[in-house]
Amino acid sequence: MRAYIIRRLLLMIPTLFGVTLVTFSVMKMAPGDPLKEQLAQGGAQSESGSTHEAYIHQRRQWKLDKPSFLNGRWFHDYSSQARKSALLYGLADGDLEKLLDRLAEEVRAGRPSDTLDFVRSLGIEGVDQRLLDPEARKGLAPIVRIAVQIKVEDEMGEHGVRSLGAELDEKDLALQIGAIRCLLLCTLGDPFRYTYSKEPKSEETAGVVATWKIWWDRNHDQFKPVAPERLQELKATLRTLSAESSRSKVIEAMDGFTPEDVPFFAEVLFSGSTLSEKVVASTALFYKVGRVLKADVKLSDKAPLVASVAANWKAFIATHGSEYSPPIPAKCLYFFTDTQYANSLVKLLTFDFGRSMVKPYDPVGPKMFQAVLVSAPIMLLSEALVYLFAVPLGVLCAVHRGKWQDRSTSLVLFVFNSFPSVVLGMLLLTFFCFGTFFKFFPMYGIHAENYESFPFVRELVDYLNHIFLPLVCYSLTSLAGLAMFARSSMLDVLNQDFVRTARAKGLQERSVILKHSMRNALIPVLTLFASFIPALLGGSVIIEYLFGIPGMGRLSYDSIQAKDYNMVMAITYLDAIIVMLSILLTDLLYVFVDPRISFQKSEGGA
Amino acid sequence: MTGAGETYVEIVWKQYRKNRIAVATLGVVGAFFGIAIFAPVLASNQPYWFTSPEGASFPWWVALVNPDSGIDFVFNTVLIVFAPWMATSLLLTREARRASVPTRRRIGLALLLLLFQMAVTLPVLVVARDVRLGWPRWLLLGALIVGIGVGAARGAGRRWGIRPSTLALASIPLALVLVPSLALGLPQGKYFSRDFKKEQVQGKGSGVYTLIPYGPLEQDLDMIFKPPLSRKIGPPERYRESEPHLMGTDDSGRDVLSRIIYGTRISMTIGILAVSIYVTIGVAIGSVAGYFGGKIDIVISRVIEVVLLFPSFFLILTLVALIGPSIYIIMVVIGLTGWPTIARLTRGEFLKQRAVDYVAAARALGASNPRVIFRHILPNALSPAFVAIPFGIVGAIITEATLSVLGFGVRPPTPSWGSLLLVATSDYEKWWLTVFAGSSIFVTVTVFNVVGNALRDAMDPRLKGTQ
Repeated sequence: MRAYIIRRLLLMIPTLFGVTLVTFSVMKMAPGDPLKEQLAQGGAQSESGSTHEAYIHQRRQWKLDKPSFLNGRWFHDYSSQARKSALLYGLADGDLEKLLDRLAEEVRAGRPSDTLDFVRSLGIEGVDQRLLDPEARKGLAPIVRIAVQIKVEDEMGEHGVRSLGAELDEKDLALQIGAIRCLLLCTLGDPFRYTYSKEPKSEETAGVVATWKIWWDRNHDQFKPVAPERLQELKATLRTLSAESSRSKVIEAMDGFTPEDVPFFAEVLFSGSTLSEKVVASTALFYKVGRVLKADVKLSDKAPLVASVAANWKAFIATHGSEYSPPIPAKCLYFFTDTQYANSLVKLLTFDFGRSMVKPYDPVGPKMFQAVLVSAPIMLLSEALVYLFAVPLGVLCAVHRGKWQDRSTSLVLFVFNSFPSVVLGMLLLTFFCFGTFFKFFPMYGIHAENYESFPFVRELVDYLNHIFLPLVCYSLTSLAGLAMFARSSMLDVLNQDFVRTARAKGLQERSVILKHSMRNALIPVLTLFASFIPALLGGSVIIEYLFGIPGMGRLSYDSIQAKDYNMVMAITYLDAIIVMLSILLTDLLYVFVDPRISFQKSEGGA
Repeated sequence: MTGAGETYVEIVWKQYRKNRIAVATLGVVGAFFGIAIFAPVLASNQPYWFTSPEGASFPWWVALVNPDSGIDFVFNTVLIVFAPWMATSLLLTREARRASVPTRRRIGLALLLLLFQMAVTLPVLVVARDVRLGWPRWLLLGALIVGIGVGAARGAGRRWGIRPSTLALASIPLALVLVPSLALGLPQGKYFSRDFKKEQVQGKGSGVYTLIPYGPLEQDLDMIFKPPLSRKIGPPERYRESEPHLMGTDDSGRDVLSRIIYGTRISMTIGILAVSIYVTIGVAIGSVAGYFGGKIDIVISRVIEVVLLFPSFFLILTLVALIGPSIYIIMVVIGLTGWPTIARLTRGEFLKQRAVDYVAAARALGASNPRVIFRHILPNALSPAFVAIPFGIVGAIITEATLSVLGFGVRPPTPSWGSLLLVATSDYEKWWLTVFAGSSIFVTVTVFNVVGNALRDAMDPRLKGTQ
């Protein structure tokens, strides 16, 4: 018994692994990028630049820029790619056109240099023809720049930071500019954060501290230590401010500080103080010092400015470079774990389903719970109805085995069983909802429009009126199976000795059937209830679609259509778990109520 | 298992025949296949032949060899090649049995006939595009072929003692196909730009049409969403266009009856192909697991259990929604997710059969593992797979309909029952779409369920009455 349960639970692991793997692969196979489509819809209002940045941010957040299953990028040497990208991305328009002219010569001569190979590998359509055609070559420069940007953002990402950092030491100004701009693309500017976002998170600390550390290392000798009495004062203020929840209060308090207080706040920020203290400290530094470090350069910027920005980046890489070139064991680990699939698997395993990828980005869990709350009552009612009708019908058939009662009931049940729910649902809608024949029931939804204003009884009647047809649809299609199960279970009992004994004792037929046989026959029928749990929670896609019920079935349909990866993964995963648990529960209940069955002997059988 | 010289199939058939309803339903199943294969004979917008001053042409035949979809191509080939061959060889076989020609010869004769017909018809059909052939040449060709056929048949008849009258009768189906298909082999002129129904009204010629003179894709924008039995009023622009639409029309004025007839083809294809995929996979995997046992069995059994738990409808929905609607994808996905049940049943059957003496005997005679599996055990272990076939077809048909209603079914102009239902969901007041397409699905499902139940009872009488 225990071995059986353990075996089933162990079996859940490969099953869940398989289910998530298949669902994930299917979604990866699908053409189109749901994120991009989403942003394209909303892109009309916002500026294209910020939309793109939001898109990249979102991609990084969901790790969609990582490879699907295996990540070899940590082992890849990006130095030559970084160099070429920096070169192409840092050239001003005129210089880039000149470079393209040179590449065109190479194409004509048939002697491709590394740069030409790199341009060819960018995936621009018909790049050779465009290079050769002088008219098309003029328009090629921005296209090349965008292609480089996509390549850097999507392929190099954080893996290329080290290689790009090496390019900062180059004498060539264009190369330096390109390297800085590429670094910005790779890291999204994350290293240079001055303050926390509106809702401070501890993940942000690294960026904020690093920024101020670089600045402090260069400028700390300009500041004198804070006087002891002022120090006490500041400590007290900090304590009150860090307990303050309102952000505007904190900003108001900034007027009370002077630039002389900066060393204190730097100390607070760098030493191990609490998050809220760090938030106050970074805000104070930001207000008293300003935007001190530059992370970005323009194509036209001059050498001194570029050198100072490059120094910022070099300082950052010197302190944080180890994060971007992990040791070999970590690389081997990242080979499997730093991927899209591993990321989503970990999230599923910890039941952290994240947010829906469709606007308005609701959390997946609560959304599913809402949907279950809609489907479950309907399914529960329909199961109750099925039991209410199926058990008596099955018993009736068994008692009158082979007679007209049995035959006619079986026939009717058989006919209902042959109605696919899609056909039955549509027929019901056609005949009872649309006035062509009758108009007994509303055609859509589970409530009337203004149901909230109804008194309770009327609301209930309205609800029942709405869900009546779906109920019929659910019940009729699953009636036959249960009834036939009840029938055969009853037949088994009726053939047993104790029933004959009961009859021989001269008991009334009524009492033989109701008291002796039916009670025994019902046990397996009732244990079957556990196997309905998945349907109970999952609803039915087609019925909910036809009748406009906003339940689980409808939710899964919608999320599949919107390519909402997170939602689809979560639904598939939970569905698989529930199915497996319900099978386990059915088996256990079966053994529990019928001690004659044991798992020890059933080895080898199904 | 087999006593008194009866084969297993004969025993099963004997059991099956006891259920009279099931035998009658078998006829309905046959009718479904008949409708699927003979759909163009029942409904088409092209005339069988069309005579005009320029000569005779065979638009129906041309439409037959230039179908709109791959599925139609397969069914039309069956119609052109195999249906007449079946008729001919059935007639001849009956006659040969009377004349006590040995079975081996009879089969040989039938195969020869098939080869001959394919050799003549298929190349012609592949190259055929259009024809306008003068009557005299057409008759001459026909006479030539019938002459060759009669001559050959008389030779065969004299040798095996087959009556000439039967031979003449048997050559009719062949000649019916061969004559026009040969005539098709002379392509000339434009065909597809012609509208024969229009030409007939304009008095440019006349033709003979099918019973239902509407094609499944033929649109009529004046007749959108017309209820059953409605006809077009006013002076006709095209021949027989005032014929009533027996089951009404759909959103593009296409005849629903014609679409339902052609939809049979889609349903049958999906059902049969999907089921054959998973029965093949299931039987192969199940027999390996059951025959070898041990570690192989443990591994395969666990895999079966894992795949059994896959939410298959959800998977199909995801795949079809993401990759794009195509009945081939639907078929393949149903096929790839449906096999575990079959594998499990076949495995159980193999475990049982492995212990029986005849397997030991076969092994003692030195039979290799594949030979024991395929020649000895498999024929005795196929019953669960056979029982699963009708139910599998039912499942596939329902899946197709459901996917279509959800908008993931076959692409729009293709006639399928599900796509008719999809049109109906946009406007439930057009009740005839739901009612007729729905009842086609319902009748098919019922019929196959009856056959499946009867087959199960016949193959394993102990299971009778259980669900």
